[in-house]
Amino acid sequence: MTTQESLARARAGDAAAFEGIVREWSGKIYGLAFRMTGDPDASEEIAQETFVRAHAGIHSFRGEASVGTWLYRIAANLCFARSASAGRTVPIEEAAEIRAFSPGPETLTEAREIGARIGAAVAALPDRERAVFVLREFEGRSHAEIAGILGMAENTAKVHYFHAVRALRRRLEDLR
Amino acid sequence: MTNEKHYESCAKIEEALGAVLSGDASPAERARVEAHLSSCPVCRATFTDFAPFLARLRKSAQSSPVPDGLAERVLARLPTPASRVVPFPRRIRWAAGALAGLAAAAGFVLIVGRGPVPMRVPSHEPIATLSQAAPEAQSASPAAVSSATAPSEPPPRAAPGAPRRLSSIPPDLLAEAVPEIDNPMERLAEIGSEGIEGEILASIPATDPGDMTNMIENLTDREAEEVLAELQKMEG
Repeated sequence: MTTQESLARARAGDAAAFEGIVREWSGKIYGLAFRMTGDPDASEEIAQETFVRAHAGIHSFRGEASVGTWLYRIAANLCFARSASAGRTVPIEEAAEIRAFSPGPETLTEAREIGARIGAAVAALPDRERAVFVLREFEGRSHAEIAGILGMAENTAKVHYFHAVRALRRRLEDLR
Repeated sequence: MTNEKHYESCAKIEEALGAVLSGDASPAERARVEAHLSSCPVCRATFTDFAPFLARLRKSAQSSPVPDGLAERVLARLPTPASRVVPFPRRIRWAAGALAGLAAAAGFVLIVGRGPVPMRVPSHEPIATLSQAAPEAQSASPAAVSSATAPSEPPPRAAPGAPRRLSSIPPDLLAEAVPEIDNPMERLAEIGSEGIEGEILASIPATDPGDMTNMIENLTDREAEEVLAELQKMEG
């Protein structure tokens, strides 16, 4: 059964179909929230709330967008709301200890440190740039899908992506 | 001036650069970028720096492991199975029943789909019961009761653009027309709404308020026909 078929059945009252959607998408939604917030607890809460809202509004969802676009949109808006209420952003210096990238083969510890620095740099991007970058790089969404999720023009999504890469390059200038 | 022109040109190519760097570019965008880079050393240097940087970043970015039991905790947050999702046909039947009662009581104009659909409901069981068991209610709303007790007469209709409000219906009549709702006038005050949707919502326990509103507002033509078919069965 495709996700769209699951949605149709869920709208008709099939609880198992909605459960299937939760099982298929909860990890992806958590991943988006984690990349957006950098906070595991907040990401879990956002993932849960995304499905609570999706469930409550399932009859208002007309199916013009895909299920994924719909869920990502709810989750992204929750991330933006959290960001606005929390008065983001966490400076990268606080989010991860700044340390020069060491040349040569990485140890496991070094690889983790590099990963943490990248995550912190992504988390420090402005909301829209961060959302576009995360959806493209980590969730594998096309710019057309991203535009639908975030309610922006496709070209705007591409510009946000370019600005995000430029900002990351400045913040991670020693990453080779 | 030359620099300004150059800057504008680079700014305009950002969207195509973003598309190419992200690996989601059309052939036209790739051609634009190639043409621009061939004439702009600044952007060429940027591009030749960004492309391997992104490759390195993709290789080194940490995964975001999904916590164990996430789906179960999500499911636990949803309403209990009994109230989780009322099957849509049942919803339609329920809505039809409630709306039919209201329409019979007040000559309602039901707003469904994309425009107003006049509902003719000459008789309905709760109203017939009312006329037999609670004759005093007739004095409260003679027009409404007469429409209910005289099946051959079409009920009065609300003027276009001015649908009747629940609050304008005598409480006794309303209570009989919508037996599912305990003390409907109090419920109206509680929910602060005079709308038909709000009243229907108030009578559904453990259901998200936006749910039924959305259902009523978003009925497709086919679903609206189903509601009307249910109404016709009830009339019969």
